[in-house]
Amino acid sequence: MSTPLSPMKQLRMQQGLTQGQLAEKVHVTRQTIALIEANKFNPSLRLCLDIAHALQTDLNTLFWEEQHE
Amino acid sequence: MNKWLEFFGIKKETDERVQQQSTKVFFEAGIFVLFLALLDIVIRGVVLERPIAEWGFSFFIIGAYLVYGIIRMAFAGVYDQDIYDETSFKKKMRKHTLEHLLTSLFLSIITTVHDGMPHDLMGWMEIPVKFCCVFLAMQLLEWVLSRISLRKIKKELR
Repeated sequence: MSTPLSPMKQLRMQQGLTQGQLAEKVHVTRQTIALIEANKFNPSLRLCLDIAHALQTDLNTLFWEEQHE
Repeated sequence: MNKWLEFFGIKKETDERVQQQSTKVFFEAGIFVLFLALLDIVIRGVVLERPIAEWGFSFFIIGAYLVYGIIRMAFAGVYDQDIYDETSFKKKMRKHTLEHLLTSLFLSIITTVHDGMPHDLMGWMEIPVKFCCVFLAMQLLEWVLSRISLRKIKKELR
């Protein structure tokens, strides 16, 4: 069973960007973008905002998670 | 500091994750060097009882690491994380005063017992003088480091 795509990955792919291209836009490495998409790294607020601007969206759409109790 | 790092070829990364990992790596390297210095003191100083000239520099490395670390923490504003304004600063200093009084008293008693009980008045006068000197030194150091840390926090919050 494959894991669902993260909102960030979906948006990036919709805009036809590779991880490398997005990384260049926000001045980080491709590894960092990959880790953020895989939920393995918590970016700073500054980086979250930069990614949101680069993907022309807002923080909510990119990063919001429903809390399950 | 950044200019020195650049001089040694250690560049500041633009990627925050890489920066974080690099900082972590250099921290671990520092701790490893500290551990080697401690090992040297234990083996050459304590076990083999070699002269201080052989292991003295390891002692200096540990001392320099601790002193630099504490001063750097003060300038980074993280020396005492309970201090964030004048009220909390005064509250903390009152708490430290009690701790320093007890520590100074303990040290004065220990050194007196170690040196032997005094035989004359001058000898007895030395005890409260020692006590005062240790207490004042500890209090002054605490005040200076806490003040530096508080100033940094206030500057960041402005």
